[in-house]
Amino acid sequence: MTGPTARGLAHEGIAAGRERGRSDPARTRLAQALVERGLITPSELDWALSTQVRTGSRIGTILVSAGLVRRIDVYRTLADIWQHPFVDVTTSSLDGVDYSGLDPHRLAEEGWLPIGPPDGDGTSLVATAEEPTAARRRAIEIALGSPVRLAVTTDWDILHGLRRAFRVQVAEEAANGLWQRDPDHSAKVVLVRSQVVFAVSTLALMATLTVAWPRAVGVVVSAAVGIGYLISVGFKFAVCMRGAARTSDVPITAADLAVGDEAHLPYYSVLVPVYREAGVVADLIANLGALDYPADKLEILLLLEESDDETRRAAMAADCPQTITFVTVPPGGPQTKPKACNVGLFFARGEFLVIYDAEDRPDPDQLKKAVIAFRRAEQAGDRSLVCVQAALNYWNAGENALTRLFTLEYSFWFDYMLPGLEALRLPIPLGGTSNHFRTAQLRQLGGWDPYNVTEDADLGIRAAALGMTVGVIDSTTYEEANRAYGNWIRQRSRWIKGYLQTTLVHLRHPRKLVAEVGWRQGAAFGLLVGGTPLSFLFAPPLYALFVASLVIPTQQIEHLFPSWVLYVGTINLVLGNSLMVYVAMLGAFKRERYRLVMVALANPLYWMLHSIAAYKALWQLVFRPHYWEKTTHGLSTSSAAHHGSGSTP
Amino acid sequence: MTAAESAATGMPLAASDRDGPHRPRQQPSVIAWTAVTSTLVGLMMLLDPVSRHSPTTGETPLWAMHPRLGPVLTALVWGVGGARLVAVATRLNVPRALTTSAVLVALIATVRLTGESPVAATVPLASGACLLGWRFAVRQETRDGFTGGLLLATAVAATPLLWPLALTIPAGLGLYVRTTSTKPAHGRAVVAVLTYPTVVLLTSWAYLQWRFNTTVPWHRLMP
Repeated sequence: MTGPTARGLAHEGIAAGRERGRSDPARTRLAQALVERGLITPSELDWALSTQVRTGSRIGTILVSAGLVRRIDVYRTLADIWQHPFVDVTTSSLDGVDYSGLDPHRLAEEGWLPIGPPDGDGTSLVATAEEPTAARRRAIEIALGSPVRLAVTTDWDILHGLRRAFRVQVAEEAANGLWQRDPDHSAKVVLVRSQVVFAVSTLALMATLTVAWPRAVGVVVSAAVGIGYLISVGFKFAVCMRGAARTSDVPITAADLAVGDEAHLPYYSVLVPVYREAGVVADLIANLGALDYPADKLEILLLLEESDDETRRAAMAADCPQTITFVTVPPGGPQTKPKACNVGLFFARGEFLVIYDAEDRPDPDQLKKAVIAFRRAEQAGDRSLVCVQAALNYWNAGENALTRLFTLEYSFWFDYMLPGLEALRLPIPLGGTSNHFRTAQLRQLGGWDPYNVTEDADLGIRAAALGMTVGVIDSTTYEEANRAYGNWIRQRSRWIKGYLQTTLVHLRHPRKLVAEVGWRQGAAFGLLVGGTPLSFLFAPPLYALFVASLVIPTQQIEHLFPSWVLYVGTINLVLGNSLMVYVAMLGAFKRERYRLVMVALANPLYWMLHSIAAYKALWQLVFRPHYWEKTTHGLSTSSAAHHGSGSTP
Repeated sequence: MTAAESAATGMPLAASDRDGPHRPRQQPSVIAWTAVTSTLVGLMMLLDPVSRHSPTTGETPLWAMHPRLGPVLTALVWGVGGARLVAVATRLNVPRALTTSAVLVALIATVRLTGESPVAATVPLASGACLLGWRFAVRQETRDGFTGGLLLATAVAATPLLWPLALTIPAGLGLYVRTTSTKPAHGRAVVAVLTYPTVVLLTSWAYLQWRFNTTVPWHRLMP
């Protein structure tokens, strides 16, 4: 999705307006008018003015986001002050308006929208959420190429009108934008022609060799698997140890956060794709309400599927604050989370943007930490940082064996693996939520691939391929660990299928990949994203070999394998499993979840579940490559009050 | 970024700003140190070869893999350990020449006393494990705990004589943590992390011996 940055009318538009709130005489008149009309009390005005000194936001925005006055009342009052009519865009038909040639991103950024066709003398009716000055009128007329009549409306109405006006374009862009612009990076096609040829040739060759020299093929394959497994495990262990060293740095402290001036905080968009989440949507609204970020600089887009009436009803019943906007995801194309996110990206107005899942409980200061991380990178001259990833962990870790093991896995992955990858400047497969982006750069990247079921991991690798970097921040989002085994298998099979998709996408042109990212990063990508599903697929045969070595006499096994192959394979299995158990132990420590340390010993059983999920993923990759296995949330029976970093199972 | 700029932009100073100008500190080269210790160990082997079946070593995992792993491990461990020690000493303003001399003298003395057996490698391994285990238990340095556990396991792999050390260090630190920490299971977790590699090493080795050789590594030490 290639949206232009603010330009043209931007000096009159939303962004500029936010910066000038303090000295705008219209805003001062607005404050007085709202009091005179009895819409706010003088004490509420005093509070808003003191907030304005701190945040630099507009007085109307502050009052609306605090829920003290209705948005429509603010803009009706402004319309009176500006001596222009007020128009309700939601009831305007928009029929007959020619939107071709208009850029919706620019319209959203600048806050105007044509809402009626040219009348008899060729004048178009245009709604604006900014002051209809003469300069603004001229600029709009230049953009439309015709004279205009301006009417005032709310910024919410502008977004609502844009969604209606560009519905088809939004749906097509969200579903197929990446595919149309850059098919090589889209997972719409699972295997390209060269990959099909390679796969068929390899299988045929292997079959022929197996028939001719079965024992030799067995030796070579088992040796290759063993070596690959050991390299993969060794790589992960080394990265984790590097990550463990990095955790002693505290890059953003509470003092850093306290120093920051809220007036300089940027506008931030929060995207929350929800589908069949009626049970948790009320919690979600409460959790997002706990974010420590000026409400008047926050835009929360709740992305609802058009068919999901149940969640929409639950969200409407939850008494959402004014900062939350419902965005309906138009049908068409794959019904996946990344497609919903692309729709959100289309309308997002924040300089930065973050994704949260419905059940997420982010640390309240997470957005501020992300801003500091981005600003520091800018100050260091690093404009390549496109995303920072917060750690994910679980608030219901102690619920059952599965949640304990899941928590161990997340702890090692987000607390050690990702910081280690960042420290070594290796590509980072993003986690599903809590990834904070620069919105403009995310649009340059093309947004998410709606055909990839781990669109987040794919985006991290695509960023690396395009020379952008991903960092991590020392902040945590707590999620609900999957407590049901079937639900877990479904979720994990989707993740593994996504890793397989990502591997196939980025290995379409291996030489190009290496040329773009270098050998080191290419190998890391292969080991991490490609190696992970493969190790789960190969684990059952290795376990079977181990069990066979226990019960079958050596002489009989030697008919199939020389004893040295068995010996090396056993060492590989023991060493690899032991090291991964050890890093899982490591994961429990940082979170001070000491009781989980010994639980790590059960990890081999947990990996068998991964293997089941991996085979399911492989089957789905062949027969249902774009099917999104929905994870059910809200199954936990743990008390929500016990969540947080201090929860020790 | 200056303090004034920081105040103007509202963004905190970067860590590097607070710390002042970056002064690169000369780090001793691990590669150079390992080269020196390898040369030294090799020369001593050449000039004064002793039986590789030292009565103190027994049939250890390291010996079984290759008889020459002992000298290699010795050179490697002393090289890496020496470089680290000199780095720490330099930060504490101890003259580099003094630390370097002390490490080399200690190496020569240890190799002379133990011959080419892997026991020569266990002195820095055991010392490192003690130090890192302490930092792990007392100062919550997670990585040190894991490195310490791995060092202990390597030391036990070199010589089963260090079994008592591999048991007493974690047990002592675990007891200490149990009395000082308010977190449940903290002491037990410390013991688990420090002993896990050793336990895995010995059980795996026992299994491999039983499965492929029908002996266990410590049979010579058993009554």
